[in-house]
Amino acid sequence: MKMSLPVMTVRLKNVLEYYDGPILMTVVDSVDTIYICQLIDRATEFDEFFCVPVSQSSLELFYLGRIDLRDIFIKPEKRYFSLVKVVNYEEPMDFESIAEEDIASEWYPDIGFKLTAYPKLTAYSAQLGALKSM
Amino acid sequence: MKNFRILCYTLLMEWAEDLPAGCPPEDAFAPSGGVFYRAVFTFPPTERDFYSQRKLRPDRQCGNECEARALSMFSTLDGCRRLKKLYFFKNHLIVSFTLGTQSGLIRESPSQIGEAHCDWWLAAQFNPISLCTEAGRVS
Repeated sequence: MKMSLPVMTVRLKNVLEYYDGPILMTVVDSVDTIYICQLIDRATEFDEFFCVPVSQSSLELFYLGRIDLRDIFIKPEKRYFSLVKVVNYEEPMDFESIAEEDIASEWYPDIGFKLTAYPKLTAYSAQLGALKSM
Repeated sequence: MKNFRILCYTLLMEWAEDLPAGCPPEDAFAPSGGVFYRAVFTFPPTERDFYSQRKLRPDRQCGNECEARALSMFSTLDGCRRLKKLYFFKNHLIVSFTLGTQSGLIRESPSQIGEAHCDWWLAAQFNPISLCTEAGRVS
């Protein structure tokens, strides 16, 4: 009997960059693995992001401007690539793994994308926090 | 005093899009001749390049309805050029334009990759397209 795999979902952790909407964000899965995700498409029904897992320590280095975003995507600590489709940033997001050979080389960020300031909670994250505390 | 000015502006101004109550926020202000930069799909840009995400995708749920009706832009060219390092913006163009008091209200909302990010709530009578000059290809 063929069994269908459950759809994996993730939740928004933080929006790191915003331009007419989130363009770089972190999400977490049910066991608190963090993924960093960059926007690759804004479709009518959803936003699509390309994601890789990232450890808290590497994320800290990225926040401090010591790691380039390209390095995080080109040399992820775990070679597990995924696509996330976001219909609503406040709801669980569909998370789908993608084979490395199916990744378009253009999706990788160019060299030189670093954060210049330690991230603050963004409006999205703050709103989510408020929702969770209700 | 600043809040009173914004209140007057909000009451008197006709907006390009319907805005929710309390939008634009109290910390928004009228620009006075500053140059700003926005990533667009074509040059010259089209009206669609100046539509908010709410207008482009009316059925999408957003975290903040006021921000969903704002346009992102940068007050420096370098701020806007940093977008080019991300795939989504590689084929975008950057345009610059000068915004006066009749263009709407803006709010400085620095983001993580640059201190120059602003939100802009566009006035109905203001047409930015004829003011745009090409500031550089994003790719």
